[in-house]
Amino acid sequence: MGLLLAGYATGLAAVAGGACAPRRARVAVAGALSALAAVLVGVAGVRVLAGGVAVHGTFSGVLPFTTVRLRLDALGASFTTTVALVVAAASLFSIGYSRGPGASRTAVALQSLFALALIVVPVTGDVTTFLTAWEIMALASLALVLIDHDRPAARAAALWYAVMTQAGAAAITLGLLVTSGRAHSTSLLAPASSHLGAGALGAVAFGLTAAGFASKAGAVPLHVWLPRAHPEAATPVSAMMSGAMTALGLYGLTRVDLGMLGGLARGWWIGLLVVGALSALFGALHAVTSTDLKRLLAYSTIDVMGVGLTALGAAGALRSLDGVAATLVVGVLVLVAAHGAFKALLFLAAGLVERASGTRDLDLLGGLARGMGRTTALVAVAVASATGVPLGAGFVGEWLVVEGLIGALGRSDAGGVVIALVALVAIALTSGLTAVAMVKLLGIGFLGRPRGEGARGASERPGITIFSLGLLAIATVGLGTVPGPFVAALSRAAGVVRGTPAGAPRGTVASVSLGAAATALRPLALVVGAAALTAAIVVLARLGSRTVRTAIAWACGRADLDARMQYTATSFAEPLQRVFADVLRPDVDLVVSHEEESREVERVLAYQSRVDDAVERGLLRPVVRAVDAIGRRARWIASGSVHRHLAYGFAALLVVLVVVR
Amino acid sequence: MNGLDDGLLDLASVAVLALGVAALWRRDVRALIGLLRAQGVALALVASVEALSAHDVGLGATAVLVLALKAGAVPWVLGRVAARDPGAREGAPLINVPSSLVLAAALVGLAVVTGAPLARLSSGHAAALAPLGLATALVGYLVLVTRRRPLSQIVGLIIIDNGVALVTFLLTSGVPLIIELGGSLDVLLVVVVSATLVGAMRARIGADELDELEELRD
Repeated sequence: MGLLLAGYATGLAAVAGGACAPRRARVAVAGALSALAAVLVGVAGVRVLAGGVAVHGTFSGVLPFTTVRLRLDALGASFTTTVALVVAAASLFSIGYSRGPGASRTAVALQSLFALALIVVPVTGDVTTFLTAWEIMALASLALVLIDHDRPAARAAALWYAVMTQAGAAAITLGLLVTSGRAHSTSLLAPASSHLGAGALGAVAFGLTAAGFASKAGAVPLHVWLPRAHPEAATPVSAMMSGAMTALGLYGLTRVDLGMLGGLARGWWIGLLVVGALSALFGALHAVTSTDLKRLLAYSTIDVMGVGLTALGAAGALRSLDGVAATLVVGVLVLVAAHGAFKALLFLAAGLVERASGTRDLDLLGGLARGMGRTTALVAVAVASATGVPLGAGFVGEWLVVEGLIGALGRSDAGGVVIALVALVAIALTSGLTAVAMVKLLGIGFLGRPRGEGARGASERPGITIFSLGLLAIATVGLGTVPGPFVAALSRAAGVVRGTPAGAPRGTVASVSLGAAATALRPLALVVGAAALTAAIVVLARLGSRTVRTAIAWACGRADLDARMQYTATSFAEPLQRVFADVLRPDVDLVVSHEEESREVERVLAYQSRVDDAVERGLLRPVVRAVDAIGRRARWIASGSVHRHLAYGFAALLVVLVVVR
Repeated sequence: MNGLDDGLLDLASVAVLALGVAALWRRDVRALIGLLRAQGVALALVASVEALSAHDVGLGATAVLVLALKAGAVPWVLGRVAARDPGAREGAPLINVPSSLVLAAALVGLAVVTGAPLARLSSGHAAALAPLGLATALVGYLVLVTRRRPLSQIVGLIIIDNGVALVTFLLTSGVPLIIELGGSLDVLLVVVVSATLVGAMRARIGADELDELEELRD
């Protein structure tokens, strides 16, 4: 508890430092203190994960009318460590990065407040403390999106985000009120034999909380804010929003819905699974077609969170199967940790790229490997992790989820088998699409030749920004190659589903093995094997031909290769965009103008393709229009006449008097 | 509490309500301020009768405070504003005087019916009078809604506050001094701010009838 409190005190000092420190020292003071706060809280989380003993404390007098209850158990600690890692890296990064509007007094103080709220949320022990921290987190991030409020795009993003986040918070509040009313306790821990999910009220509580938490995790159709707000926020903030805040949506689902609402009808969990699967596919598809670097990353966040939602839905639907639910939950926890590390790295790198080249458009980037070698190498590590290839951190999480689903196939009733199959197919398709998006990100954005002036002149300077990227890369690689100890610590958190962590995956330094199935993952063996193979190839190559033959590469019959002969981000994604045209509904403009003399000779070909969010256009825009129309119709109610407004109050008072008499 | 006290309490409480209703009848702004002053005195009388019968020094101090603020400072501030525009009258209220008096009678009836639970909160004679306070507040609200001049509306606002104060005096034998102090000073602040606002409006648009302000602006 001491470490936690020291961390929070440091976090408050960071907020104060951001608000009060002189202009020059502001960014450094607040960034360093925020990072220190995150490290302290993260260490507390690691200690709980390692020791398994939950710490808790109650403080009265901090908030009016209520006591503050903090509680750090294994489940909270797994999210706390992830969030703390992201916050620490992003805060360090901001020391070397923030300037201009991002370094204003308001921005720096709010960023520290946001960082503080992020590391408080998974440590809260009761409903009121949780909601307070949650709301501070939401409002601080909302204000941070609005920092650059001169641009219309930022204002639009903030409006969407404000509506979604506040509606979500309201739903969560109502749901938690219902739950704690039935439980006769405001604790976030389920009573031993919890049947809070039973009956109509249980369904109401689930619907409200799941909708609120899922909207934070960017579930379709409540995702619209995410690809707008993440690119609009300053880079360290978007890294924290994507790597940490969305993860807390999954935390809420695990803690409240999976942990407290026992006895819920299976259909609700299947609904969550379907929403998750749709989100994953939708996010992955849009990530494939996006050409804006940060937008691509934001959609890829929806994709990963969708996989998490799918797995949590499956865990809830299959919770009666020993081991399956535990494996799925641990899988989600690992996935969240991996995503936090690699997505924060990618967002931070995207910020560096934007600053160095002046653009986020992949069609204008390329060839960054030459000027920004370190960044490119670190991005490659993150991309490997994101694609889910072995030795990447993302692979471990997805492997656990897939193994958990496969484990359900042989032991479940027909309904369970269908559930597991649907989830498996969705996750498989999503992984493929994610790989395409990530290959595009690295291949088009960083390799090849520069497609624009900005990319040509881009360069990097080693410093604290690269250092914080490296920190995240180390975490990613560590989680990918030695996941055993982390999995072992997380398996205790899996007890949240059934009360006991029975059947959860086991982990040692060298391997991760499943309780039910006789399968195991040995990444270290893979590392050794890969190293041996590489060495063998090198040795064989050396032993073989020693003569080096130089020849001109084939270049479509031309001697010089130029940037226009490469794939662009748009052309790379075109085949997939064509396949999924019915879902994506792209707007394609092809303008062809011909030579005067001959209709056969084309002079200019202009191709433009834009993929708008079909869900936004088809589902949410009509809702917005309807609300707008009602608002216009209702304008006569509020005509501006003082007397009319006073009369409304008077009439309301009289009605209340008569009704409550 | 003896019979004389009860009688005085009845008289003073009814006076508070009657003066509130009279505010619906008078149109001259300065007459309205006079009514307000009288209502303050009646309210102070209620508090002091309660204080004497309960031998409560704090309540006595509250009575003095009420007298100073509601019969002294507030009417004085309003009088200064009114003096800048002598002979100001409420032109045509949104609801004419006879109708508003009928409405006021209905409101008093409503208050007595709906205020019955209030009267049952405490067993004493004073509590039985509590619906009068509610009625005063409702009548004050009616003044607020139907008058066009900002000054008359401020009067309505203060009548509401007097009604609320009457309920608290009758039901709880007065709230702690500090709360009454805070509440009364708030009212004084509202009056001062509104008075300033009226002056500013008059300077800016040359009129102070609120009907001229029909549109909301940024």
